Amino acid sequence: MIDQMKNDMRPATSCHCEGSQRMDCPKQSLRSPRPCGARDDGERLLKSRRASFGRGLTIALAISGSILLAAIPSAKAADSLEKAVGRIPVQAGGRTKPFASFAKESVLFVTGKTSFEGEDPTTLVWRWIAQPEIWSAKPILPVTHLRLRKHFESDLVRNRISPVLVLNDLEFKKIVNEAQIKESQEKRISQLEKKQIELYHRARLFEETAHGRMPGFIPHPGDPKISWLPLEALLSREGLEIAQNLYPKSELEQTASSLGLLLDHLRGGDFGQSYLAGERFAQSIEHVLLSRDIFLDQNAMNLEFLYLKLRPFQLAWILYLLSIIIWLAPNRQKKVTWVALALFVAGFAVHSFGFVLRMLIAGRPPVTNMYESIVWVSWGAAFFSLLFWIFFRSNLLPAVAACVATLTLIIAESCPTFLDSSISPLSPVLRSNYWLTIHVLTITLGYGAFLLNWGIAHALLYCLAFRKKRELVEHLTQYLYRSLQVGVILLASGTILGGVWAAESWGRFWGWDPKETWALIAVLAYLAVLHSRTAGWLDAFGVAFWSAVSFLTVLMAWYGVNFVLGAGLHSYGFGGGGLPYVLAFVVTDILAIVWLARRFKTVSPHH
Amino acid sequence: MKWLNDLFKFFASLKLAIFLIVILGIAFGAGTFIESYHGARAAQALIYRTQWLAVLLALLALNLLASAFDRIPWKKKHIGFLTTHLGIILMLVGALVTQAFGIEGQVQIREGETEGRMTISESLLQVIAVDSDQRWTFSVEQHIFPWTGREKLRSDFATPLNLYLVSDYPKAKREEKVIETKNGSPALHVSLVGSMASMDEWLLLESPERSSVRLGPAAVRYAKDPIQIQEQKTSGTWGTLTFHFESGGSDEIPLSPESIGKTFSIKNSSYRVSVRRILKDAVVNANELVDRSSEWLNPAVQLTLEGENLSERHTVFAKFPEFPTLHGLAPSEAHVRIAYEVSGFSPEAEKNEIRFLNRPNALPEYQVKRGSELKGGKVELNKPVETGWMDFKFTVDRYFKHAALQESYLPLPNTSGHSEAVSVIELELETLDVRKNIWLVQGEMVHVPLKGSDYHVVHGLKTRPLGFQVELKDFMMDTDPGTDRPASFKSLVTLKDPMKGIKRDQLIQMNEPLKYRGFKLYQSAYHLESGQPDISIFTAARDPGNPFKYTGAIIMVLGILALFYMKPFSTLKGSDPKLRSR
Repeated sequence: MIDQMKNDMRPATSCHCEGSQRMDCPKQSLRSPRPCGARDDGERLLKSRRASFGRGLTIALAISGSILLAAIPSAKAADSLEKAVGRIPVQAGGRTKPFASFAKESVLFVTGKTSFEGEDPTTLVWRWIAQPEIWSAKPILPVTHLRLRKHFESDLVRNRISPVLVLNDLEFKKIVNEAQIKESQEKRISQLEKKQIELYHRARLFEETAHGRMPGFIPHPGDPKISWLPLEALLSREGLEIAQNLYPKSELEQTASSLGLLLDHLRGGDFGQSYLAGERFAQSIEHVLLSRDIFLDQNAMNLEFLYLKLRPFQLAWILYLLSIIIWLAPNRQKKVTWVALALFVAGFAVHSFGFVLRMLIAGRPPVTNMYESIVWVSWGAAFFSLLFWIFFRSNLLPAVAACVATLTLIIAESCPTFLDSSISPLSPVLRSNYWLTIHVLTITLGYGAFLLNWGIAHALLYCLAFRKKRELVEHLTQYLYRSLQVGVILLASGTILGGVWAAESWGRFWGWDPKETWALIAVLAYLAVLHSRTAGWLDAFGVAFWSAVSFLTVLMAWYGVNFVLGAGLHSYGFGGGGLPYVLAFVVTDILAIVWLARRFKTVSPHH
Repeated sequence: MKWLNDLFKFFASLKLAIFLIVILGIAFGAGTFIESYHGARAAQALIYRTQWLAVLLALLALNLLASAFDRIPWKKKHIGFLTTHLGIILMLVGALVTQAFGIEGQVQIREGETEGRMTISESLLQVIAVDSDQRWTFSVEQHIFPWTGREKLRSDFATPLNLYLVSDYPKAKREEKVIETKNGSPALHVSLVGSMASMDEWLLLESPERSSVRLGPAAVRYAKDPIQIQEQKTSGTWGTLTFHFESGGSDEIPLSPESIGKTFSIKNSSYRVSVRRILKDAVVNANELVDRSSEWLNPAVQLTLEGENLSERHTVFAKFPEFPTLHGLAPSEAHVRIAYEVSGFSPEAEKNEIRFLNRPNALPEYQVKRGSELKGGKVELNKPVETGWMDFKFTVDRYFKHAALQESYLPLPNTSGHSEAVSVIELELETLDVRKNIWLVQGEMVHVPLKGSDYHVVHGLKTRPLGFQVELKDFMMDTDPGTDRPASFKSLVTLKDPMKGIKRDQLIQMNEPLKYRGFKLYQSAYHLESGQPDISIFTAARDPGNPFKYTGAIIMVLGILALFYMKPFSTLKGSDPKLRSR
């Protein structure tokens, strides 16, 4: 079948016009008469842009180089505290994870930032534990809601407030209590009330973490599934007495003293010494567990730590961005475009590697929340561009894919508060199901094809509006159609697989759940484009324009159902907000394509 | 017959196809928004289950068929096109079969019980004459949005009374109003306000449920008799340690200053307890429990429980009996609950109470009990009174000599997730000479005395037999490590079909239903309440349309693949739309 595909996909020189009356065949194709190799075509596109992009290559390279450097974990991290204690396995959020992972999540939740005051999360959390009172009085909790800011007006420092002020505010606590009661009764609460509860939880989480009540460090030897003993158990005599029921006294005391030492160094601001103390503490914890023959999988911890430090998806978009810059840069040499392609492939490799890493850590395909699905969809776009590259040998495809993948990955990486990148256990419906995995992967891969299609549609609209070379337009037209086909097949079969899964686990094939309904609407939208194209109602411009518009239905199925409609059975995918940004993006995109269309209509002669 | 040909061409046209695709897409989209704003039932009733949508889908099927026939004589190249369209038609047929013959319902089983019927979502109204046990069934068409009006309900047989539907709220919240009447129970409205909590409530003297309110460690009561201060059972200020074993045994050990350091054996058990410390005002200081003062403010005992290869150290607080006594750990291995009772510190409801004492023809008097202290006075309207419990003050702002409770329901939006939301209807019952209005919550029964004859009115859902029986042996829920988040639900059931002599055990869990006689039973929900047997809720479904849908889906996907990627079977012309060129 691949051969078939190859044949079909090769630029045809003749048109097989044996169709029926209805399925109007476009007249003779208007593509160039000679079967041109697509390979040098892409270069021609790039060359044609050369003049407009000037001599910015060196600058561009310098900028991208510095971005790349910033992304690679700095060398000074080698003997940081993070390395020493970041890999200790802890229990938090329903699974065992390295301390660094817990620290990242709690720093993000407490401060709303991935790193605070230039300190990596692990070190920061340890400093909290060393001096809970001091940190509790520092303004570290962000207050974003305007009316909430008003409540704490006099206490805010750069729109942040200290945990102790939040927790000691009896009036605020009462408000939060009422909001929580309302939430438990009515489920729907106002944005202000949500923010009030959130702020209170931020303060509480800080308190719990800073006083060593979270996460769990020492499992119960008999049943590791119950709550592990937190650091608090090592910090007090009562706690130690309890721990002594489970573990040998000598080991515990050893750990407690190394913990004390570590905290002393941190209090004294002696970070060089704290690294050694941290290592000692990590070792002694391990010894404690070993004394009861508990051996936690350190490989899994190392893997997750690697994932956290490497930040593969950030690295991937940087590589993609570099490839774009080089593709756009003025250079006549063929080698340079190969460099760009190589960078793109490297980006794709890192992207895939990150995905596999995440899969190994979570023990499941990571497509269960918005963040993961964005990563996977952009992977899909890059994947299909490379697949098409094999058939068409055109660098246009990876170039477009690099653009959309960079865009989506930047979005995924830069909105940690909307797009939760932490790895968390699945809700019961989603567990251990083969069909479900296939269903979700197929659908989101379809989104990936449509994302690529969307990028190609924009490129094509741009080329049409600015009267670029005809071959370029023809090739883009072909890629547009091919990506549309792939998307339709994947989305249609994915939706059906969803029906099969629903029939097998809920007893109904189709239940008009908003998620499945919108997937169907997206299929219908693209089908309408395909059929209009077959009917001859849409030309290259029309197909490009309407595919770009149809992507809005994909956005609705992908994002809108969870965040706009907020109803239905797929509610396990829900998360907070980001709606204004998405709306702004959608409006901008619509304006852009309408503008391109207008320009195309006004500059080109009408038939 | 040119017009017939034209008609056929119209039904086979791509124009109609595109029109239908676009219209269906818009309709479905509207449906999802209706669902978001007005709930799933509204979307079903307004879009998904309407006749016009059925007509559109039928048109689509017709369009697909006609366009296939339009291509006769079929050639090899038509294969892709034909299979794709055949697949879609089969899926539509499957939907029709489901609509006509599919059944879906709920089966709710308590642990240890057997169920043989399923509940389907069709309303049913029954009126039962209490004396004769005669029954009449009325059919009720439920409304999608809150509705008020007057609609006569039909029954198949002659009935002794007429029923009118007056209101129908799919979701509503119960509201109570106390109104002054000529004769009825005395009532007063009291509010209790403090910085930590506040409440306000009507108290009705003669209503058993409405004469008192419990508020954590305190109670507010409206009664005829004053509070009697009883002799404290616990002797001495040093209190008593009590032990309750899960196996049933219990013991009490009175404490005194001499108890410290001593070891007592516990009756009916093999355990001993040694009292290490008794603290009068325990506080945690520098991670250690210390006595802050010698006042009895927060009594606590630290003790060691020994025996049967076990030695556990417990800290027990008199004020906080709910605290796990073995810090941070799973329950005691000895399966014992230890409490420290010191007079004045146990937070039992009766220790703190506000009581309003009814006086004929006058405002009530009040008594406030705090531990063993008792104070009182005369109630004055709108005058706050200090209770002495932290900073709580109470105020009586209204008093009726005779009052009655009037219930009504306030409609809520369909999408409301309010925890007290119920589906409720208001009925008017009419006989020759009497009329009476009642509120009827779905699933509940109301007793209606109606001039001489009594009736029971039930508004429920229809049930139908499954054809077999299912016994719930055990419901199990796992949680994620270290959290309360459910990780999986499982039900161990016994399937029974006495007619066929079948009796077998099966585990039903997510994605693993019980399959029997065309039905599938899926784990869909559960209900847990402490002290009650677990309830597991299953969805029972039979869908004969599935084979059509599955075959249709496979055929369709194969068809699309052929159409897109197998040239000999495809009428599509590669990738070649006409270009708008210059």
